[in-house]
Amino acid sequence: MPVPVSNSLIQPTAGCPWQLLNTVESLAERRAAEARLLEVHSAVDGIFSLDERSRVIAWTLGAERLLGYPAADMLGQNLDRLVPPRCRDAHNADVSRVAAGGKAHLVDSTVEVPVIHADGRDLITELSLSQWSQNGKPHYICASRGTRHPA
Amino acid sequence: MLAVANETERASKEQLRTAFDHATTGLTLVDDSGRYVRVNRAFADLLDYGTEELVGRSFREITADTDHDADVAVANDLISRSRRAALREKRYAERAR
Repeated sequence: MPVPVSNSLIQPTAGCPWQLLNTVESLAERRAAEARLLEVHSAVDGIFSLDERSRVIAWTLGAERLLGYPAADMLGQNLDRLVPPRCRDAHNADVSRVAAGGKAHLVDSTVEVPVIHADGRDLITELSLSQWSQNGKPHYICASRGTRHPA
Repeated sequence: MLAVANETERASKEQLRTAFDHATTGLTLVDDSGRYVRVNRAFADLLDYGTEELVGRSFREITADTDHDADVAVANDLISRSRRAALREKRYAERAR
């Protein structure tokens, strides 16, 4: 497998013969990262991440299996399409409040929330939410542990 | 005074050697006869060699046949100063078992 190599000429001390300095990128770390990503992508849990405006920036196969929406339909979309209409105003108000610097109450907790499956069913899912920061903006990772019908 | 200067130079060289040896990017120094003068652990690991197995060997021995000519062309370009650096993809030879 080809690896990225860069070459430059150096002269360790004046008058000495030249030497070729080569830097060779190991692909091992990249392969390990890809393997880890594949593990996450294939996890049974539905894992997805959101930007500060609640737009989907990652959507795993597990999320597709649990909620029925393929990644191609979800990436770049607002998560509110999964929120039942009766809860949507409250959800969007919460997103706006957090985007404006308010505290995200659900971060680092596991809660049961209503969700609309792609086939239209109104379900309940157990969701764990954690927060990370990119370019100074909050992003969220959500792990859905399964769905059930409302009692 | 000289002793202090020598000690400072020795410490500086040691620091550079440590940085070279422990860099996570593969690093090699090849002399003008094409032999490895120094290689670091990251490079040796990449090809499944020990660093001591590579020092003194010609780059040709561990370069895929398909890439010998490109290596020589790059070195010639650098020596003739027709370019200051080269960035490319290179294939190494599989280690014979």
